[in-house]
Amino acid sequence: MTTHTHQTAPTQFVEAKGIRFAYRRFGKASGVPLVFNMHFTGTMDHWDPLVTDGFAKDREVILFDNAGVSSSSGEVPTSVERMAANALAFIKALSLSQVDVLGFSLGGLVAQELTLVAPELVRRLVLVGTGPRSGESMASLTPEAQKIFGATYDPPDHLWLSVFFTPSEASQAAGRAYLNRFRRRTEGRDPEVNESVVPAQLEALAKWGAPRANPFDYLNAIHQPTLVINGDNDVIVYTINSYILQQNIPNAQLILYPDANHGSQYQYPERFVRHVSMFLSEEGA
Amino acid sequence: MTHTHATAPTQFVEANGIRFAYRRFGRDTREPLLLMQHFRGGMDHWDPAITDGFALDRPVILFNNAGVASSSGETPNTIDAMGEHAADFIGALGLSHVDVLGFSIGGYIAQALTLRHPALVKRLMLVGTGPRASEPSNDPKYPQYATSTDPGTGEAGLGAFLYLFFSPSASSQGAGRAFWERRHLRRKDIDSPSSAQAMKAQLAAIAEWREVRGERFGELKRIAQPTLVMNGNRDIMVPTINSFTLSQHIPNAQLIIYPDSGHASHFQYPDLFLAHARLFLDR
Repeated sequence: MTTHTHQTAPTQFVEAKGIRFAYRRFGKASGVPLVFNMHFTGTMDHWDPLVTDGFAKDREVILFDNAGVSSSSGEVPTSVERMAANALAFIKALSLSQVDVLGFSLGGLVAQELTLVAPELVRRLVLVGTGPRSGESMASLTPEAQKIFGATYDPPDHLWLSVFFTPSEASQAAGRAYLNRFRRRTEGRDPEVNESVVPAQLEALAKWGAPRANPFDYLNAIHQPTLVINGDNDVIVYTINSYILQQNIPNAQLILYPDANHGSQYQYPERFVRHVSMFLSEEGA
Repeated sequence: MTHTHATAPTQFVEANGIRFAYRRFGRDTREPLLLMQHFRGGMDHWDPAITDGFALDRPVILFNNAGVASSSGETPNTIDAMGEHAADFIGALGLSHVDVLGFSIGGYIAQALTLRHPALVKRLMLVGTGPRASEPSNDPKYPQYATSTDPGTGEAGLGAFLYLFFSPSASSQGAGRAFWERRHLRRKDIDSPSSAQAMKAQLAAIAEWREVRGERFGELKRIAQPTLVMNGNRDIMVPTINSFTLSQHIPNAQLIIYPDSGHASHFQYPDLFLAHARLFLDR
């Protein structure tokens, strides 16, 4: 059997709830697979190959497009709860009884909700660059995010240099290296999302972030060992939200990386893979 | 012969009129790692699981600062003066620079040392600690436990450590008792308890450290060293938010917060702590 990587893993499809979900599955088939949940407007190709292939050395990695995103059929729902229901349907369609879940940004909200509705399915949870319901400045895009997403870029993917990295020279250099890795897959690449995705995802984000009473109480119900990771200067989902997650999830560890914005895992991919692998394997715990 | 936490002999070195007690052990490669201890604590208050773990691939140096436990002299009543004593001690050992791990008040002193003598410190680990003008503890029993003395040993007893250093959960308390066992494995050549003078001066220094000096947290921007900040998620002595503040203001700082733990998360999760700390030191 061929060993597939981030670059070569074929896009496969599985049906559930009337949705044809696009996914890729690769890596060492042992133990519990790690399912990745993507950020706002992202596709399977927005993950960093250094991160996915780094994990794939020791475990199975599953990337997928949630309903209505890129190669998956269906519509993007306008709530995180329904996105999580779709993610759950996808995982069940693969006949998996237990998974580790990694969620980045919007994907981190989906990962929290998925854990709450299917606690028996989720073994361990990794929340990256994300935040709680009613988190700090999460009712709408932050002023920085509005400015960054409102600007135009040439080439267009230079958007991510501002979203994921700080203005420092070192962070921008890491960003350019990430973009080179991110562009590397040319065959069977996911199409960029269509125009119906952005408004639906924004509506879901706004509902999640809206103020409510005792907003963080729901986190007490997440009993899975959880690792929360972010940059120390996330301007898209403010870093304090990672601290709030850690303080309210009963069994959570927090790691914040220096001089890093929303995409700290792409700035320090080796360190990130090492820390998360230690956590998933309970090395040293 | 290879010494360990339990067997390393207490040695002495003189500097600036102080006879500093110290122990040095571990593999003689890389920068030595200098450990700075918590309020009232001496060399025997470290966890052998941590010190011996570090000693596998680097020299480890434990010491008592001026006036603490078996070191001579008087404990000064400011953190800055304690930092100066630490610099004297490092110089007296003939070391050009060290990696530093400071726990609690030892973390305050480590910051002062780094700010006043930046060339001496290569990498900095700040554990269960906070910046100048930290958010203070609001735990009502903290002062009483922290200054309590078991008449049998002349030091704070197990109950104080379990309350102050660990979370109330059964697993954290169990880890606290396991730490207490390990910490007493050294039976020979043990340190004397710290004096009443040392405690009083350290309390005065902690009070002075709570005062704002200039722009609050402004001095942290001058710490250019790679820094690792670590704490438990429910530190009732130096509240955990202070670790977040350190990591937000020190330019090159990584933060790790551990679950279900208090001031001494590194004594609760020694293996995980070591794995994280060694990844940081060896980067």
